[in-house]
Amino acid sequence: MKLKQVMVKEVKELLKERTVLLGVILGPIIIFTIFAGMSMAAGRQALEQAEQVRNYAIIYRGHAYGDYARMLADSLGVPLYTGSVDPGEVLEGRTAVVIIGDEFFDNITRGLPGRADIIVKTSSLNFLSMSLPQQVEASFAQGVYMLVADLVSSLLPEADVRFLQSPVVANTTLYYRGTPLSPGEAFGLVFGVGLSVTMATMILVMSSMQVAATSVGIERESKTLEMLLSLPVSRRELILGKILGVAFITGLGIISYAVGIGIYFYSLGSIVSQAPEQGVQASPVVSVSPTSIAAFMAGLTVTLVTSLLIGLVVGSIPQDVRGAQLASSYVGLLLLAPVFAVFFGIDLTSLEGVWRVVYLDPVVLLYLVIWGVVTGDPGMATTGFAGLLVNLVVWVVVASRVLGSEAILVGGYSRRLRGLFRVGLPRSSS
Amino acid sequence: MDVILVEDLRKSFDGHEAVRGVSFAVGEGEIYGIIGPNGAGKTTTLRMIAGILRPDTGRVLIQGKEPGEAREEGLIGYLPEDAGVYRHLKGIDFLRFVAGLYARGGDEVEEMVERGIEISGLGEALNKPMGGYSKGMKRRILLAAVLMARPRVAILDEPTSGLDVYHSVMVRNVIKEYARSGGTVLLSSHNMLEVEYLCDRLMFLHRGRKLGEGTPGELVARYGGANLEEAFINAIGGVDVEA
Ligand SMILES: Nc1ncnc2c1ncn2[C@@H]1O[C@H](COP(=O)(O)OP(=O)(O)OP(=O)(O)O)[C@@H](O)[C@H]1O
Ligand SMILES: [Mg+2]
Repeated sequence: MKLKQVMVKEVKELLKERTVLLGVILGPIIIFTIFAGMSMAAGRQALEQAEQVRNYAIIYRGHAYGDYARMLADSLGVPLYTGSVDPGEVLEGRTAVVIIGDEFFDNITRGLPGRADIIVKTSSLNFLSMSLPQQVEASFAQGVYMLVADLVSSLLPEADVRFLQSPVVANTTLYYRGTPLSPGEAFGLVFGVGLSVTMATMILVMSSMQVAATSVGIERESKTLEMLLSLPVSRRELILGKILGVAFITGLGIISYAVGIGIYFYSLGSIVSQAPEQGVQASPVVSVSPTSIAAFMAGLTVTLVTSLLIGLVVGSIPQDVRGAQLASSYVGLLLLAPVFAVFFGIDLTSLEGVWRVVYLDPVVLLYLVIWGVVTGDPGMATTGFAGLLVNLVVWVVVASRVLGSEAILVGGYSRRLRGLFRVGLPRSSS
Repeated sequence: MDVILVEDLRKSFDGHEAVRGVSFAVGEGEIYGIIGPNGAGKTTTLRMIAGILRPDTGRVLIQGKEPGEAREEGLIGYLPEDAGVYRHLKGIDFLRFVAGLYARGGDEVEEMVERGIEISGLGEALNKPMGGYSKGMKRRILLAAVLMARPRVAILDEPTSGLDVYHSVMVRNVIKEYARSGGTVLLSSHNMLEVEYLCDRLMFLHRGRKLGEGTPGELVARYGGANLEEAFINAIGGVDVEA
């Protein structure tokens, strides 16, 4: 059997390749650590939200059932406002208000579900906060059930109590940064931008990064790199030329992306317009204007070029194409990881503390641009775009440094990187 | 003024000194050769002169300029020892690409490409993707790309390696012609016949050090032997059969 010899050779070769070691062997640990961090952050957010759900007030607009309203508020442990108080003021410092009138108690006392308007306010919109209106409604319904169950059993022993299974019919509106959203719209935003657009961006960014990452490796392996580096062209032009060449090809991807997203928003628009009419203004998702599409495409293009540059840099460090591919997939995953956080209910538009380092990531900046465009927040879109431009410039400089270094031809990046961290005595010269 | 000036070049890889203090100068229109056994440091030296590797110490001046600057100004043409081709690119398109980088005007591109077509001698094959070229054809298209632009300095690392006798002679004539028109050539070779025929002056390089320098005749006279090959063997201290 010669199998063993061949296998041993293969293992020896592979173990010498740092990218294989890092990618295949250490990669899973790194990825799972990132996911663990995200789950923890998501868990914390869920706990905070559970607190928020209880932080609401009741506004009673009627006259006939003042005592019942008081009893309801007391049993729920929430404040009660009466008369023509402004819901906006009551919402100050609270998550939600529940507005009820006489009709509500008329129904309840007749054994019918009561109608309520629930207004919920959130500063971040994600898979978790999207469910806030339902959670507030559930909490309120619970209180109604407790109150009514007592009343009904004492006052109306003969009554049909089946309505108690859902004693409230609520009309909920979610205010996100001052804009009212129906449940359909909130779903459209979170699912549309948070998930679908993000997924499409991920595929585009990852695949183009791979193309860019292997471009130097392939030149090195087909031995065209050395002559290319000797031609009369500056490193910066060489890089930009390479990148724009790749970008031209992936530009075709952008076109298909644009068509796809058009179809997607169109279908989303038709779902949302079927949502119950609530006197709520037109959905931001549906009112995507030519300007906002242009802003979005510009953001996408800059992000793409930047991720190509990152791919080029990352792919130039390993000595072969296989290493370049592995390295660029892992760096790509790292760049996209924060967007995965959206799946965990984390809102990328309002990160705090050290988490803000995530704003160095061009993919996250693109997310801000998209989110700003779609929700009609020019400030956020502009900030995201400015960040993207800064990123682009930084990576152009880094990439020309890397291509300008001789290590690109003869290797030795790892030695250099080690040198950066080396402490202690220098090696004695022999 | 010397077109190429090299002073005390040194370069180590992983603590192994590949080039240990090499100095020389090449004048305008001169063909200068570096000969040395495998691993002597020829390629490393040429790469430092072409601005591809950075010397640990010492300096290189091409027409008084740093190699990087000279390269960007199109003063240098470099044919690497083991260069490959772009598989999907046609020969003629490769020549156009390189000419476009060296040329200052549109007319010049066509002029260079015409010259490139002639130097390569590839004829109809220029319209085919280079991936299908034989070893010799690849070498010729690359050499044509380097020489068609008539850079001030042509650095040729084993220009005729892989070529048959007929094409080797052809390439030598092209190099001679290029030097006659004022170009300066720095080349390395293992072929003593070629070096003797081509070079005005040459050096023996051994284990990263310059052993001797002069015209082929001078070197034969200094180290003894019937020809350059024997002089070279004598210079490096004979062939050790044990090694
Ligand atoms: N990128 C590199 N990394 C490590 N060592 C290198 C590298 N390039 C060259 N060397 C070493 O430097 C020495 C000189 O190599 P160089 O390629 O310059 O020799 P050469 O004279 O061109 O040989 P040949 O006739 O075989 O082409 C050799 O010992 C080689 O192993
Ligand atoms: Mg060599």
